Amino acid sequence: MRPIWKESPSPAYQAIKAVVLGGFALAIVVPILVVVSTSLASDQDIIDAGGYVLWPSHPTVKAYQTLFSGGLMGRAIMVSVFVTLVGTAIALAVTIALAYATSRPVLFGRPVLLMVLFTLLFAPGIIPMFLVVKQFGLLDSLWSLILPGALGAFNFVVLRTFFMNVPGELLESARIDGASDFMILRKIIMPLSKAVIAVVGLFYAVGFWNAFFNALLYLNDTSKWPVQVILRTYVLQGKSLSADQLGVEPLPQPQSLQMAVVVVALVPIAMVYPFLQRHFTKGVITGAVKG
Amino acid sequence: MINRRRFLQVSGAAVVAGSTLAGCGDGGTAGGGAKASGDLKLPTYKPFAGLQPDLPGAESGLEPGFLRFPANATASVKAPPLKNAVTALTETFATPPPPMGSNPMWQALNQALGAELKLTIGTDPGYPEKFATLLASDSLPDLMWLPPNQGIPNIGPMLEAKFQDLTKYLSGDAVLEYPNLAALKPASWRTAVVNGKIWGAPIPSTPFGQVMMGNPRTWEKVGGLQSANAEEFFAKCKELSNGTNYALEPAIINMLHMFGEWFGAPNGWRVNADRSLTHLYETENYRAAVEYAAKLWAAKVFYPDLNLADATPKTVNGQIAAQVVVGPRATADFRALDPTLFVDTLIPFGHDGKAKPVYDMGYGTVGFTPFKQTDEGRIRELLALMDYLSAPFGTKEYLQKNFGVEGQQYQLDAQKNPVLTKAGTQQAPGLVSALTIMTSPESVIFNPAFPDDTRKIHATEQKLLEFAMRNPTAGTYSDTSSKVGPKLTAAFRDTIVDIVTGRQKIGAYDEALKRWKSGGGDKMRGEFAAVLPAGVPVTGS
Amino acid sequence: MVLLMVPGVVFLLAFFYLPVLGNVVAFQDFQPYLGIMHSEWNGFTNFVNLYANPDFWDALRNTLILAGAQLLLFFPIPIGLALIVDSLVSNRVRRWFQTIAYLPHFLSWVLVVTLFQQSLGGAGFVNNLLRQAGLDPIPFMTNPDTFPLLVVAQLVWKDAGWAMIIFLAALTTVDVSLYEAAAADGAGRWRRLWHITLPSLRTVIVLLLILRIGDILSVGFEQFILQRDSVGPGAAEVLDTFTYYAGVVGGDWSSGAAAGLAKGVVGALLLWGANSLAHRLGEPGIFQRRGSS
Repeated sequence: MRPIWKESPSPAYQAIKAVVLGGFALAIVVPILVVVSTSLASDQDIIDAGGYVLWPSHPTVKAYQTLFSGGLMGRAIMVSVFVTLVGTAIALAVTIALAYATSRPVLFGRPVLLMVLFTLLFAPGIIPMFLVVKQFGLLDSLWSLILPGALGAFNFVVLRTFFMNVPGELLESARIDGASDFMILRKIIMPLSKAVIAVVGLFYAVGFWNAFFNALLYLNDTSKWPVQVILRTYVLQGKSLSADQLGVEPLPQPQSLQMAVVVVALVPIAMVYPFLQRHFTKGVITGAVKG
Repeated sequence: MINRRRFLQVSGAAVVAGSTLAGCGDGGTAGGGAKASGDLKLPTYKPFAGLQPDLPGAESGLEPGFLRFPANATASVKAPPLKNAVTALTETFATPPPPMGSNPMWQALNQALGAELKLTIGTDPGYPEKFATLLASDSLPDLMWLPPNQGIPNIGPMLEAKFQDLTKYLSGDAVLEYPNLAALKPASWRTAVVNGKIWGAPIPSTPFGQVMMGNPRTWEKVGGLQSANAEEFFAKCKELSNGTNYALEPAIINMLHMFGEWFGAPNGWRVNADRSLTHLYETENYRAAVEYAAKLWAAKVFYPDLNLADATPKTVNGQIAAQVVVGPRATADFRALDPTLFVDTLIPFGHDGKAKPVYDMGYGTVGFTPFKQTDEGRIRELLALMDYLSAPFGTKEYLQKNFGVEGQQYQLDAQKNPVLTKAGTQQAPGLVSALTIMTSPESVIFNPAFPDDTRKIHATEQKLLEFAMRNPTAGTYSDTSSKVGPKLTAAFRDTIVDIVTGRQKIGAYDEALKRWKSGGGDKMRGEFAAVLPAGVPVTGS
Repeated sequence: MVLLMVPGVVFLLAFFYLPVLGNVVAFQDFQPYLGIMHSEWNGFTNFVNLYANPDFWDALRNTLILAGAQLLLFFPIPIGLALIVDSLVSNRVRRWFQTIAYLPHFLSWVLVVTLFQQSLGGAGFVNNLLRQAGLDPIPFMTNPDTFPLLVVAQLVWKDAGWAMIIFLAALTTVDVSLYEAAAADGAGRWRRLWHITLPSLRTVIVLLLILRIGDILSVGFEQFILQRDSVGPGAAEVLDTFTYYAGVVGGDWSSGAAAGLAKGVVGALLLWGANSLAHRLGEPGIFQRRGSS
């Protein structure tokens, strides 16, 4: 529905918009189509095309079968889903609380804010990080993938800025009515910031889903490895089988395996998006926000 | 597909890039402690007697060939080696295996070993980080594979501080208690000697270095890959390159290595008559090879994307005519993609058709596996484990380690060769890769489905050996080389690639050489020359 | 309020401040087998070496050039896209476009560089067309002079859609009644954009700019390590790849830590500078002066 205040755009303007968005979308769709097609292509398709395939003439799911053989991948997906869900929930809770607390002038607000900003600039080394994780007894535990990533400074700053824009009068009146800080956060701040919380949640989820390096360092038990670790090793697999194992039935072409890997990594997180979409409605805080 | 491994290989210490396993073979950092090694008695060499190869091996490095898997594999170990569980850090270059709990092949191996072998399996990239974190955390596993080329510096003091000196258990005849370790060659053992002490069992790999391989169907049009001189090769390359197909894989440094052989460049260092050393980069021969490569580049015979990571499929389908791989056995990589294809291996030739070419042998091992410091009983137990896992080709233990249990992970084909079953292809590759990178017997040539390949490879190896040259500093140690060698090499190579691809003029060569020398090259020369073993011959004699 | 801070602060102390102390290895000749307690202290040696290393300065120069290109050429694009998408009336088109635009963010750099190579590389689609037409191929992927443009193009392809999401979220907070009032007053499309839409994005834009400037010395690691060899380190070596080669590939953890600290200090100065500038322009920025809210 076109809002009443929006006049119908001129054809020229309409055309420019279509070209920009259409061109951008096309530049993305074609390569992605190549990725999906190649993952489904037969060995012959790939050899004929000299590498990447735009449209497979003999589609096959062999690459996916290889990927999921042995049960390693199924388990890894469970691990990744767990880490992503639990990690995002914890990270959001921690970040929202801290961002809200520091968005108002309060005791310790400044030093805590400085503490967070500092993490943007410096990074702990690999070795000390490992020692800390070990000291807390988190080695070989999935919590080693979750806890160190529970507060992202960038996400914190973004949330805090949005919270700061919630007018103080709203909170004051709630406080006069006897609401606690926690209540204010839940009943006023969070509903008003749905869109940005959805975005930050997505940022966290993507971070947890894509992380692989911590798993390499902290998890020795391969049955606890998340998807990304397995995927990366498949991507590198190419021709890793030594001559001794030549008896093995030949693997699918490396390209199709690699592209299948990409698709497997892509699909779950792309599926999340539609659920976030509904938080993107304009004008939630009608009449509440200063221009 | 570009993968990071390639970049690590090109820029790290390794001269070798290509097949992943052998790609780790040619390292600069593992030291030999030459000062003290004069006093050290290497383990007595006693080849495995139980088995006669179809094609004999030789001291020169020639690998024995087997046309089929020996019937009735013999046992090389008397009793299961373990009483207690063992932990080990290793790396897999295949997909990680299903974990022990759901991997019957792993469980069967544990059964045969007598106790659990708990592997911490690193992957690439990330192994140096994993190694360093474990080292710093003070909870070392019993065994830790020490790769020769992944940037682990100061090996000497590190070994002294954290690992077990095994000299008294392995030196001289002491090794005979572990027959499979005694069957490892002295040349391999030299890898595991640092500061005049033995720190672990070495992990042999093919002793051959890089070779150029070409698809015969492509080269047929120009009279074959073999050429008489550099001009002829240039002309053939030009004819094969037409804007969609190209003659050469764009791995400049590796290709340059091949050209250098035709121009008579030394393997790493040249030993002069007065026993002083000249580095490869300082020779006119290598410089000439760089100019030749630049000429080829200008003629557009290299595949135009420098970023190409795996050229093998392109060589198979003819888009690229030739590429550089490690060792003549790599023909199998091409067979794996196209069972009807046996690629041709280029035998080096003199650049002008008259001069004698050289062929650079490789390092021959992929490092060694040191033990955590412990007591004698445990040391003996771990040595027995290494003995089991180093069992030669054709033994029961070899079968158990590489193929699992008959009827479960493998079955015998019509020629009685072991072939992995469906279950085997899931359980084996990741596990076998992790095991063979930390323990290995001496290498053999074996192509189960293609016995003829084995014959041809064996013949190729003999031809290459006629021109074979070894790095005179192999097995000796230079502090400077261990510390800054990889960095200097990387910087120099960056300039060479710039020259070959036309981004810089050949004049930049001298500038880069000057920086290499003052940055540590001259110091390395001094250190290597001081410990040059008397047995190393003057180059070219 | 203070209670709400506790979990976050505990996380920070445990998983950031405790391990970040490990950066003292920058003042050591750190060896993993000796640990921090037993490695030798060497004062500022690592920093002096860094200062004397011409490669470090080359890497710094490249980093600044590339960051500048990213800031000028990449930063405005997601804002523009977000404005266009926000102006779309059809929800279906909107949703389709957004879903498509986000996808490339999830592709690894390895794949993005590969895809670029397939289309623009020496043996890629475009150059093959040029060759067939009898023209000379153009070295998009290997020309060091145009490398910054290539890098930005890759970044736009991969992340412009994704970066738009934050601006879209900001646009949801715009009060619709303002548009209605403006329309009633006869304000046209452009005036509404200028007086209502853009001001509502200003805080976020300034915020992201400040964050980007503080982080300007990180231009991305994988994108560069993947292309370093085909373009040559002369143009593609950046601080992060330099640190990686020194710290991990070369096994010199101390030099790596020193470079990291130096980078952090520069970042802190830039962050502070950018934030002060924002205050002068009347924006809250990310860190407020005492007394303001």
